[in-house]
This record gives sequence, structure tokens and C-alpha cells, in this order.
Amino acid sequence: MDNVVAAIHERTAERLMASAARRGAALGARPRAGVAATDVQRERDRAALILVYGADRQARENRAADAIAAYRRAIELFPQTHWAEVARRRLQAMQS
Amino acid sequence: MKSLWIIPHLLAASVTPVLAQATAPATAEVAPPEAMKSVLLPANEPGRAATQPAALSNTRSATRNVRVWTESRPDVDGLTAFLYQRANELAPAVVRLPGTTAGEWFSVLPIAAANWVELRMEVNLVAAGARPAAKEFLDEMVTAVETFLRDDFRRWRLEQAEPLEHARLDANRRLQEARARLSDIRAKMRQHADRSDVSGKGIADALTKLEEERQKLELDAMGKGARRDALERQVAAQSAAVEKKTADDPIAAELAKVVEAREQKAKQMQAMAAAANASQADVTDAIAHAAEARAKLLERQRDAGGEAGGEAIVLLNRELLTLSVDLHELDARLHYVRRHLDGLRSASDLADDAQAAETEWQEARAEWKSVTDELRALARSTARPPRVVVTGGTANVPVETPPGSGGGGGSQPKSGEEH
Repeated sequence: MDNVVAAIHERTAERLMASAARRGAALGARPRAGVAATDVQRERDRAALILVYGADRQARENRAADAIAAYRRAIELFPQTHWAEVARRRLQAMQS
Repeated sequence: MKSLWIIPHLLAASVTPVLAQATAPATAEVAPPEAMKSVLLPANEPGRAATQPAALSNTRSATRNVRVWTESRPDVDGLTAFLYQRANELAPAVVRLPGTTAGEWFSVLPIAAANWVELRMEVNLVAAGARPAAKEFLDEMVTAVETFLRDDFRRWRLEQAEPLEHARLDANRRLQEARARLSDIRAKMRQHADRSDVSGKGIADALTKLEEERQKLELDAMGKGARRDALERQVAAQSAAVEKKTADDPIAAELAKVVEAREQKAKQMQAMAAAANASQADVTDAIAHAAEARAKLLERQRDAGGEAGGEAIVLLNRELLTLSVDLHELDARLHYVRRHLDGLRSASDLADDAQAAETEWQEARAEWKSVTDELRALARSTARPPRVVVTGGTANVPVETPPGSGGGGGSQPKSGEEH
């Protein structure tokens, strides 16, 4: 029974892929490199890190207003990253 | 010091000033003759024993004309008064008369012309007990004239030079102060501007150039900052979009169901094998099928991410990183430019002070040079001391009257040239 269900879904998936390939070929689209969900999260982390790193540098240069804005932007744009948490801690430290 | 004494028989009263001038000594230093030295030599003078005392001239009356050429315009009244005072001082030693009677037997007649003064001095020693040394007395008075004129000339030269010397010292002090102030201000300007050229134009040019650079950098930083903000937002939005699209992919959904069925089958086969109802080969085969299904799902999810724009996130992040480095560099350059602009502005504020100090220095320098030139001119004009020339004179030796000739034993004056 499981094999029958699996085979059905497998054939469906193959048909859908063939259809997508035909559409892509008709539009002249080139195959693109894929990005897994984990890769997306990594890129998000990287962007947040760049923001926090810049904010840290501004804080060291006594540009507090710029640093606070950058930390807040990191929290706003990439809330689910590790660096957003770092930004929150930095903000608390600056405001205390 | 060369000296010239005018021999009386060569220089009578008729000697012209031109001749006298031509034979005048180069300086006022005129040494008294040896005869006069011996007259004035103190009794305890060591040289007295060694030298034979000169013979007394035995003159009771004498005249002496002295002409003086000098640029110091001596005080004739002062000179006359000095000569009378000196005559009183010399009287006891030279002619053995009291030191208060010179006015009775000595006279001076000054005659002033445009560029010379002539002194006609006369001695008439008729008083009883007077030593017959009229000639020697006048020799000494000539020396007194020279002494007076030499001192007067020195005083006159000092009086002329003193204010100029003061002015030169003052100008020199101001010059040094202005130079020190200018040097101090320029050192501060160099420190502020961090450049060797601290001229007004140099500072102004550097300010203009650096202001332009600052504006360019600020504009660049503003543009890149805006681009960085946009990229950050784009990365956030794109990553959310990719996640959503991947989650909603129908092919991946089908493949996920395949994975679910295959895994279920693998579990069943494991249970059956445990009950000895299936072989181990069947279990292995079921697990392999499940793994294959998972691999296909992952591959599909990756493809779905790529189709949703996942690759773009990587590119955006790469540009974000590059922009972040660029902004860091721009910030560093802006920091440098702003710091130097502050320094240049401080240096520019000092430029007015430097200009004032330089003007003061130039004025003091011009004043110092002017005063120095005046002092040189004064030194040239006062280089020639007064010239004193005896232009004529007489000395009368009394004629001894033989006893019994009716003259009463007195002496008759015999007029003759001084010798």
C-alpha cells in the first residue's frame, strides 16, 4: 500500500517537473543554482552580521546615533538571527 | 699721535689761515714742548732728576693766536670760561701768582667765524713777584684749549649718537620680539595645519581643496549608505520570499509525501523482519528507497529555492559586504579630511595674527635699518676731530738795564717773536 502511494506521488512530482522544465524551456530560462533553506538562513545571518559589525565600529568611533540606528535595523530586518540578539544586547548596554 | 708746534718766528700774526690749515695736524692731540713739560713737572717726578730742567723763557708778556676747525661747534663762552678757570689753576705753579688773579694779567678774545674759532690769548706779567714765564703759561693754555675741545668733541659726538643708539636698541628689541612672535605663530600654524607651507594663500588653497574633497566623500558615503540600506532590506525581503516559495512548491510537496510513504514502508519492513516475516534484504531495500526519496526532496527544495531567487540573495550579500568595506574606507577618509579641516581652520584663524606680526617685524626691520644708516652717516660726519693750529704769537723778554744807566735797575721790555 505504501509503495502504491509513494509511486503515485512520485509520478505526480515527475509530471510537475517535466511541465516546469517545458515552461522554462519555452521562456528560454537557464537553469539556476539552487539555495536550500539552510543556505537562506545562512545568508540572512551574514547580512545581519555585516550590519552589527558596522554598528560596532560606529560605536567605537563615538558615533552612537549611527550605531544605535544600525543595531535597530539589524533587529528589524533579521529578527530571527543570532546577530539580532547580539544587537539587542548592544543596545541595552548602550542605553544603560 | 703726530703733533706740530708752530715755531713763532715762522708763524707770525700775518700767517694766513690757508697756510695754517695746510700745515695743521690731523688730530687735536698736540703735545706740549719739552720746555713746558719741565716747567710743569712735579718736584717728585722721577724723570726730573734724569733730565736737565729747561731754561726759563724769561718772558713777561706774550700773545698766542689759536685757530680751531671743528664740526662740533664748540660753546665759545664755555671755552672762554674754562680758559680763565684753567689760568687760575695754573697761575701758582707756572707764574707764581695767586690762583684768583688770572683775570688781571691774562685775557682771551674769541673770534668766531662760520667754520672756525680763533682765540687770541694774551699774558702780561707786570705784578711784582711774578715768575717770567709768559711763554710757558701760554703753551699750557694751548694744551688746555686742546683738552677742552677734545672733551667737547667727545661729548658732542656722544650727544649726537645717544638718541640714535637708543632708537637702534629699541628697534632691535622690537625686531627680536616680532620675530619671536612670528616664529611662535607660524609654529602653531604648522602644528595645526600639519604642513610646512603656512602662508595665507597656502592655507586658503589647502582649505578649499580639502573642503571639496570632504563634500565629495560625504556625497559618496551618502550614496553608498543609501545603497547599503536598500541592499539590507532586499536581503531580508528576498530571503523571506525564497523561504515562502520553497515551502509552497507543489513538486516538493509531492516528493515530501513520497518520503513519508517510503519511510513508513521502511518502518513496516523493520517490524516484519523483527517478526521473522521479512528478510533483512527487504528491510535494507526499503531504507534505501526512503533515503532516495529524501534526496530527491532535498534536491527539489534546492531547485525551488533557486527558482524563487535564492541565488540573488548570495549576490546581494556579496555586494553588501563590499559596500560595507567601501563605507568603512570612506569613513576613514572622511575622518582624516575633517580632522585636517579643523586644523586648517585653526591655522587660518592664526593667519591674521601672523600677518600682523610680520608687518610689525617688517616695520621694526625698516626702522632698525634706517637708524643704523643714520648712525653710520653720523660716524662718517664726526670722524674728523677738531684741528687746533697756533697761527701766531709773540713773547717779550725784558731787557736788562745796566746799573747806573738811569734806568733804576729795572728791565725794559724787548719785543720779539716767541721762541
